[in-house]
Amino acid sequence: MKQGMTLRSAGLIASLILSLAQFPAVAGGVVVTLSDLTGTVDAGNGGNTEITTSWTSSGIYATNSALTITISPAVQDTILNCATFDCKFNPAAVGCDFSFTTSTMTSSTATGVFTQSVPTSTAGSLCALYPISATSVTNYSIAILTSTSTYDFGAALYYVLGANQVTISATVPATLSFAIRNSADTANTNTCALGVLSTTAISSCSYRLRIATNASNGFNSTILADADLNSSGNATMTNIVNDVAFAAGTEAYGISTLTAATRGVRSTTSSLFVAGMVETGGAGYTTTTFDTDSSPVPTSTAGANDAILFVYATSAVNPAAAPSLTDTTLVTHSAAINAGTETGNYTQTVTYRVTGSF
Amino acid sequence: MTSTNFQILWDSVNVGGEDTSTSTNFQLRDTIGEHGTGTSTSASYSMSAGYRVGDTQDPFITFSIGTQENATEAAFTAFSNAGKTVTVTSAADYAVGDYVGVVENKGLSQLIAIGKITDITGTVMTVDAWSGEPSSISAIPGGSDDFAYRMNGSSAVLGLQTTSVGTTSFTRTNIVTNAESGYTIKVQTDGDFRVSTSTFFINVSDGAVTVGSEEYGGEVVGSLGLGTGSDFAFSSTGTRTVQESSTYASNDRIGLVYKLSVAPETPSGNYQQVITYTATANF
Repeated sequence: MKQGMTLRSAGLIASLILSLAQFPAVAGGVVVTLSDLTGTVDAGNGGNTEITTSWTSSGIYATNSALTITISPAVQDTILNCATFDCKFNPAAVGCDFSFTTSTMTSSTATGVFTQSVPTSTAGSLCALYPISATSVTNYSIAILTSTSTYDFGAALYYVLGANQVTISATVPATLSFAIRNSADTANTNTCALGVLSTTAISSCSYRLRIATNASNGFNSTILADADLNSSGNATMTNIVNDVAFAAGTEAYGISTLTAATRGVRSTTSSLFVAGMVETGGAGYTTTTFDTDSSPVPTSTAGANDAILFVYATSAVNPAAAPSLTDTTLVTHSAAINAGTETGNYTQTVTYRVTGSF
Repeated sequence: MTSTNFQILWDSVNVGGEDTSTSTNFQLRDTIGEHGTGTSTSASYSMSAGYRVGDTQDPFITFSIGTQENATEAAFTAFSNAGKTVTVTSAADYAVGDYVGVVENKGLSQLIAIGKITDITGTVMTVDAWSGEPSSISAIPGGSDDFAYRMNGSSAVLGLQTTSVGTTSFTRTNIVTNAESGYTIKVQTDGDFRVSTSTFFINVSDGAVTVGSEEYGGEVVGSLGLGTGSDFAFSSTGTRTVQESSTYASNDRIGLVYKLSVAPETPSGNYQQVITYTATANF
């Protein structure tokens, strides 16, 4: 008996619904998007944040259809209209076609009605002000639910204080190495022998500088000799004039060739070690321009020998395994004498210093 | 309404309809004795007949992330996938409601599991469920590189680098939504992993971050993850989907592992990157 009563009651209810359902009635999940005044979905530290909620109707919203916006967790105070309330659904509407019912708005819900009919598939948006006072990272869910003629529903997240962000960090320690190598880059050396000089020839000797560092800003190197090439202080060889070529029979000593490494420096665009080092020269260097051969060997940090900066790079350096004639810097010293050059064993000590730019 | 094998979205039966059936985890609204239900359409109208036609659920989505907190590192000595427990040397840094991440063989080939703590008894923590790769984690780990971490942080600190060891950290997700068509979680970075715009790590390109090579990348771990099984490069110019589902989510989780290895030539400095996770419900 009880079962029969229930069935009859249910049948009545179904008949009523059938008669009411002559109105369009659909229910659809919609894609909801959010943005604040800065166009983002991250409010930083919150505050009174005006957030625009946008979606596209999946059916007709009849005039006076209701809409509920729910924010979770609840904000600190009652949701309000935006300072300049803005909404737009029906493209044919004049002014705002939605109105919040301010008397029913709470800290978690805002309700209102569409004041004009909204066609199906209409992209619309409306603005509400949310008093957000999060002191810790929080993801707010903002959901919409329309009712009466079309039941559209959807939700999106509004992130506060980077609630959806992770900062990744790591530290790579510094390294720096430097070696003076023979011209073939097969062994370390600290001599460069010009041999027996002749008035009919230019004598030369070479070595290489092998520099490696992971300093993100590269390195600087300097060159400084203890004195001019001399024979135990008894005689001094004339320095080559900057950018003037050596000539047999003309007394001169200096660096005849500087060829900075053409590879081994980290490219700032590809991170591959395909860039080259830089020879010092150009503006600011007047008497010792290493980028244009030949050059005297500086013996002082001031005065005429104003350019002790030698070769440098502005990003990390990782030369290929030795031997490498491209990833190391070649330095060639030369000397020429004339008939009046005093006899003797000439020497000079050249000191390089390499400093990482970390 | 879901179980292991079934899901009931709406319920309409002939006997015993009820609008307020609830249990701890579910709410059911059902209807009985309907006739002539269904949808009819014409050029201008659509008619949907039936008592539950107008019924809707309040849409919701909740989403959180949390990252390995190195300061809470504690060796774990036992793990049970079926029992949903992990035993640690000290549970002092953990509380019920925290997420715990378990890492076996910490390093570039590590295994991870993630769960939300429901009970702590002594040094045994019980979780609601394990996500990640719990079936691969040893019941009794064998080495000195097996740890548990609280997973509530917002920073993944990979620390001081050496060329002989790859370093890792990871973030867990957690999403709940009643969106019928599920959800999508994407990630995007604010730029390279970098000291400056001109000094940055090389992103992994061969599918594996390898010790001794300068490489940086991520690995998605978990049954709901996308692109699992290999290491990928993050992007600042586009999003990458790391987790998705086509149905409701009830505390769905994955782990996203950050992996780093350096080479001798890797530029020195303090590297940093921000990764933004975006969750979208598909209603």
